[in-house]
Amino acid sequence: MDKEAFASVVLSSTDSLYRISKSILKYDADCEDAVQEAIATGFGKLYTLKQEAYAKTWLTRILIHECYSLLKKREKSTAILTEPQEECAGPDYSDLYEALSALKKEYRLTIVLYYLEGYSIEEIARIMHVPAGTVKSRLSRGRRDLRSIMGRAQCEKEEDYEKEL
Amino acid sequence: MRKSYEDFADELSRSFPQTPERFRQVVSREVRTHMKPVRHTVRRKRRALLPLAACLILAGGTVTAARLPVFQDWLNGLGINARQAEQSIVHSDGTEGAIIMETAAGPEAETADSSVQEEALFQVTDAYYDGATLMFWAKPQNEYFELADHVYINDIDSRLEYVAETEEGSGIYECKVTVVDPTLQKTDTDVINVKVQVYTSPDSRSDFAFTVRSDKFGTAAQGSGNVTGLDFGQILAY
Repeated sequence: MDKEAFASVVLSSTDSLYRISKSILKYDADCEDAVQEAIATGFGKLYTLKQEAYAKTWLTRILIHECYSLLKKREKSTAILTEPQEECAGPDYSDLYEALSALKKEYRLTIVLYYLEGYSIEEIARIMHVPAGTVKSRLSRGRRDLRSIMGRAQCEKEEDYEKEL
Repeated sequence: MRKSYEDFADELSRSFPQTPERFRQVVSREVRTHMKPVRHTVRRKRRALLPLAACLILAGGTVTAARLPVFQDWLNGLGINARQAEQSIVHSDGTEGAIIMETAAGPEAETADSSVQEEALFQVTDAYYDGATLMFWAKPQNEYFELADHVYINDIDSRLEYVAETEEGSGIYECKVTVVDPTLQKTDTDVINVKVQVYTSPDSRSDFAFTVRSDKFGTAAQGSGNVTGLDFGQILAY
C-alpha cells in the first residue's frame, strides 16, 4: 500500500480513531497523544501491511496498542499534573455515555468496536488478540452491566425527584 | 424490551461525544508530516537490498540441501514425514453437542447422527444468540454458498445482514442475523430453531434448518466441557 492511500484511510477514519481511543483513555489530550503515535507507527511500518483491504483494521489494532501503552505509563507516573484534566463524564454527557464510561475498559472497547464501528466478532477477536468466545462474553456482560448501571441511575433520578417534591 | 442492534447502535452513536476539532487537526497534521518526501531514498534502498540478498542466498542453499537424497533419508530416519503429520491432525468441533443439524424434511436428525451430517448442506461450527442478534459460523459442502435474506428464528422472520468468509480460502462463513420482531426479542427461550434458504448455485435453492440449545448455568457447570457465558444463556461446548 502506498503512503497516499494510507493517508486517505487515516483521514477518513478520524472519527473512528477518536471513538476507539476515547473508549480506552477517556481524556482527549491522551487520545491525541495515542493517535499521533499510532499514525507515526502506521506510516513507519506500512511495508508490513500485506492486504490493503485490512488497512483500517490494522490501524485500529496499532491504535489500541498505543492506547494501552499510554494507559500503563499514566498509571505508573507519579508526576503532578500541571494542567487541569477534564472530567471523563461531565454534566454534558448523556446517561448512556456515562454508563458506558463506568464499564470495565475491555467491555467498553468491545461494545464500541461492535456497535459503533460495526466490526464482526471475528474481526474484534483478531484486533484484540482474544478468542471469539471471549468477545461474545464481553459483549454479553457489557450489555448486562450497562442495563444494570442505567437501571440504578434511573432509580436514583426518581428518588431525587421525589425528594424535591 | 430488548433493543434491536440498529436501535442500540444509533442511541450509542448519538450519546458518544463528537470528535473535537483539535483531535482532527492533530490527525491531519501528523498525516501531512509523514507525507513529506524523504531524502536519500536511493541510499536507503541500497542498504535494504543487502540483507534481502543474504536471505535469498540462505534460502536457496537450504532448499537445495533439503532436496538432496542424503538429507531426505536422514529426515525419514528421524521419523519425520510431513505428509503423515498433516493427515494426523484432528479437527474437533467444539459445539457438536449443542448444535443439532437437520434437513427441512423433518426432525429425524435430532440426534445429529453422521448419516444426516453427510447430507447436510453446511455444518454450523459455532453460534451466538443474545435476543437481538444471531451469529453463526457455517462450513458449507459446496464452493458456492449464499443464503436468502430471510432467516426464520423459531418461525419468526428475521433479517440476514451478511454472509462473509472469515478469511479468504478458509471455507468458514460468518453469518449475521438481526432480530427485528419485538416478540422474539422479548421471548426468553432455551432453544432456537433456525431455518434458512441456501443457494447451492445461483439458481438452485434448498431449505435447511438447525437447532441451537442452551443449558442453564447450573446444569452447564456440572458438565465436563467449557462454558461460554452469554446473554441468551449458556451454550455448552465439548
